[in-house]
Amino acid sequence: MKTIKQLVFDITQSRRIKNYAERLKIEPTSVLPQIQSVMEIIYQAWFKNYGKNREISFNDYFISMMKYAEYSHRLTQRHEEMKKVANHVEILRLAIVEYDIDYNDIITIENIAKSNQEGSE
Amino acid sequence: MKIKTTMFKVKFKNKIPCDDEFKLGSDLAYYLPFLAELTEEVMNWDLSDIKEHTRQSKEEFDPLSKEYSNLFKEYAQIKLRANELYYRNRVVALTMGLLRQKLMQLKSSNVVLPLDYDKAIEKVEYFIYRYITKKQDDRLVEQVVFDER
Repeated sequence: MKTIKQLVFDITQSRRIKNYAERLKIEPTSVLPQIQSVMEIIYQAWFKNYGKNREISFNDYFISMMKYAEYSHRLTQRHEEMKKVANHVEILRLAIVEYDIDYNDIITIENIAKSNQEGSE
Repeated sequence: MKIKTTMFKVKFKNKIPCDDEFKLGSDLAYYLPFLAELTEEVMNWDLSDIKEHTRQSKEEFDPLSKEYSNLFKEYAQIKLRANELYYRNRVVALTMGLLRQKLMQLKSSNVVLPLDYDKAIEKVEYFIYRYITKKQDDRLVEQVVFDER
């Protein structure tokens, strides 16, 4: 089986890495050590499995890991979004209560002032 | 003109089995935002563990998504309602200068009303400030913004 000690990302792939780094406001080059360490983790995990079962290809193992990471990430993200939206709902709920209190106060004052006008007419 | 392009390179600590470097590069670039999920914990997983964890995440994700979509609907409605009430108060505030003037007149004519004039005038002034002079309520402007996927 062919093995590699390094990988060169082509222009499109590199652009993706650059965009990702920009979004996180970090240097693109600091993304590379993360890739390196994840590949190390996956390689070691795969190697343990490969020792037990020679039919497990690195590629299959790698892709399964990536899919897991994607789902796990989406789940975490969704939990965070839920918190964010729930928090915002609460903020708006309080705003509504406040608007109503302000409104009722002012209408009460207006009615009292009006009642004097009507009484004097 | 020469267009400056950067091609990144990553060196591995091990010899990685790989028949298709283009595919590995594409996969890594695509899954990049999710890599942080892979901690040392996964090192002891075999293929069935990975599948089981993936299945669990999927299973938890679907009902959560439904819940999320309901919550988001509620958010949209409450936001609309808050905006309506804010603008109602804003419209009311437009005529409140007259009420303020009237209260001052009544106060100076010593008309007895079941209210404290100073407090009432203060409230009216606050109302005008709050809904006209002051800029839009930040709580209404601020949107729930999510990171670009």
